[in-house]
Amino acid sequence: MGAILNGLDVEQLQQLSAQVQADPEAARSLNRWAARVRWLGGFKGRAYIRNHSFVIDEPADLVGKDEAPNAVEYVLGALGACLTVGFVLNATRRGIPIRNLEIALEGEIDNILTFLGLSSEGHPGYREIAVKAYVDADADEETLQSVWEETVRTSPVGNTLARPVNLRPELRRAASA
Amino acid sequence: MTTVLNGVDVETLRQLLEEVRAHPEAVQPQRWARFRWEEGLRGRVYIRNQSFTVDESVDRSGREAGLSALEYALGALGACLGLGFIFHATRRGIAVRNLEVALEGRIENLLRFLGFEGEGHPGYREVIVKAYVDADADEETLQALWEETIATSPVGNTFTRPVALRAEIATVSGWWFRYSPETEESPSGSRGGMPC
Amino acid sequence: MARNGLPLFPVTVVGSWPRPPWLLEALRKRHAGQISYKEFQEIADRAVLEALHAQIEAGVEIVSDGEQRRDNFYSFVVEKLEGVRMMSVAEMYDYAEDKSFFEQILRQLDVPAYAIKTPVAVDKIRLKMPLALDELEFLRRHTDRPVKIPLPGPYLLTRTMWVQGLSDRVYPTREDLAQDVVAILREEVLRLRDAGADFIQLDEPVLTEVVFQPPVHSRTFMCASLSAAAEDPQVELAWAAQLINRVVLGVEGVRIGVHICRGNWTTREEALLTGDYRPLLGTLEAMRVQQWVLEFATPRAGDLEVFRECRQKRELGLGVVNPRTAEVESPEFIVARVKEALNYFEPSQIFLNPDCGFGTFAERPVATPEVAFRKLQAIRQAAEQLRREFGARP
Repeated sequence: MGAILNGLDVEQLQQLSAQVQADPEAARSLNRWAARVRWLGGFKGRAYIRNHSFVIDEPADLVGKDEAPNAVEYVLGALGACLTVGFVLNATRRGIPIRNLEIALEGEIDNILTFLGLSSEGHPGYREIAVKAYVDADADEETLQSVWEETVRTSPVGNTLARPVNLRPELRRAASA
Repeated sequence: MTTVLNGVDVETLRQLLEEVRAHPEAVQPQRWARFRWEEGLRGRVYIRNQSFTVDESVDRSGREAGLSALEYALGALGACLGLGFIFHATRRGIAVRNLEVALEGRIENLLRFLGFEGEGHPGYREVIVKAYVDADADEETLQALWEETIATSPVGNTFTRPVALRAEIATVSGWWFRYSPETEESPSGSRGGMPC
Repeated sequence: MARNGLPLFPVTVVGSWPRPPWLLEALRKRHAGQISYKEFQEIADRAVLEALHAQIEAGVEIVSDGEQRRDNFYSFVVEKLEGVRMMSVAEMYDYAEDKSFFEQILRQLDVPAYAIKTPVAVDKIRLKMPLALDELEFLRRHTDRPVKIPLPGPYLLTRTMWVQGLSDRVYPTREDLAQDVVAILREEVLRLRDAGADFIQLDEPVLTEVVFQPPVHSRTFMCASLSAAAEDPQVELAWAAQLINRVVLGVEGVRIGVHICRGNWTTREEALLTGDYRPLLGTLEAMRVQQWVLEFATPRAGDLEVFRECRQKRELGLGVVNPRTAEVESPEFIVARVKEALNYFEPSQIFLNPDCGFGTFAERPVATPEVAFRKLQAIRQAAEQLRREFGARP
């Protein structure tokens, strides 16, 4: 076992990187991710991913029961998580110890009324997301700034949001068993 | 007597839509989230009164304390499309017995995230979404409903259109935050509680 | 100046003085565990002397130590008490009943949850060392002037330190914790009196939060923001007055005051609370203290006219300068404010002070030492002018 930095085994991290680089098949498999969402009644659903699951619900003022974050909120949370994890990964690779890290996000929907069928202007997706990272780490401002820029540039969720993704939707009727 | 369709109180839904139609400005366009790093590649998201853990097990065989951010994003898309479908079906009075959405996301080049140089970006290039539905309506109606769902999906549109990311970093040490009274700016409309 | 012969319109302070950068550096090291308690105190000694000399030179007649040994006016008790732990809001997040409210405030302040800390009672609280005796003894060795010692009030301490899920194992209710807080404060008041303190000021700024904000916002950010027990403001105020009285009743031989303000954590006036003292008047009257130390230099604090209906008047520590503005109030402005107060109070009842401290929070002083100095000078000049008119002695 190698040295631990920011809760990560540095050596293991390097090995993983080397392994992925050496084995294109492994790299390809990393590029595919799957999820399944089951409707639970009302505006509540459960997403099943690998051995995990989570609940999605709408706030009470939107006819939900406020039992869980809703889908657009999960997107914000996913972006925050992705940037944080990326920051830790990049800082750890450069040997920077982090004491604290927190990211606050605020997303602005272009026009939510289009989702409700009450307007045809604009779209109901996020137009803009403001992300503010707060960090307490042993490095100068400039270094942290460059780690942050690298993180934003190479963030999987960040890139997913910042670029147009091709959706291939399909609907099938399937009678209940 | 209230009618419940698909687990949704139809009257409440109708009222909500009436209210929004009358006061569209009252609909809050912002959403907030906060993520706190815990350790290693793990942390917790706080949203309203909810929270959940995110854990990046890059090789998908390591500790499985939680899901990765990419997976949450995929799950959010599925949920948005699935629940959006329920919303539109309910508004049209269609009873849905079962609904399931299967998703497969294809990353363009995840190696870029791991710090390797190369082609492309580490985000999803394409997402395949397959919805399975069991409902009291003909094929054509359901298809139209699905298309409307895709076109008006908040997360769907967030995925298919470029979102402007405004990213900023501030260094703030653990016990202490420096405030310079001279440079302190006044955010509009803020009203402080005293942090005593 | 003789300790017991106060002139008319005595000039005093509310407590804190902006810390010099080297003291802040030492405080940072102390928190990081890089220097010992004793090492920090030696550095703070120098800072106290600077703060003391600045006050004397500006003409302050009842001096403080500038709270130089404290990180702020209340959380310093962590070092003095057993059973109290400094916790960050991030650590307490999961105990918060209303996390959305936290999120709103974090966003307003533009800070991460990990950077805001507050003392929490996690075990039976016991005195490790006296709360402020060291401050008094040091001042006594270096000045003959009358001395004011500010202490966090019993309501503030109880509200801040009692957190559901963290404190209730030892203290099932807030009242259970309040009993120990009251006992510790009462002993401290007696100890300070016996050691020669002239003026003890109990700080209860959180009371303005109780009356000036709607229920959800009435919870101070850190002060018990977590104990979401929906409070009735009237019940809270009555309880606060009762706690103060349990600390001070029957204590003779020292002037005891209570200070209530509307927040002193930012120079953005619009972010601080607004409202006059009317809703607090009954509470002030119910508190068996000798002096009310109140804000009156900012329009947010309303009019002195509220005292027209007041039946049980005390001494008034009249706030005549705003510690958060760079502009120094003129002696004429101060004199005019005092004359207004003279409509409701006797000359012998009026003390002159700033609205609040100049550096309530170590890391966020609201004034520079230069501005603070000139503001105190202006108060002294106003006092001299008033003494020419009303006589020098009561």
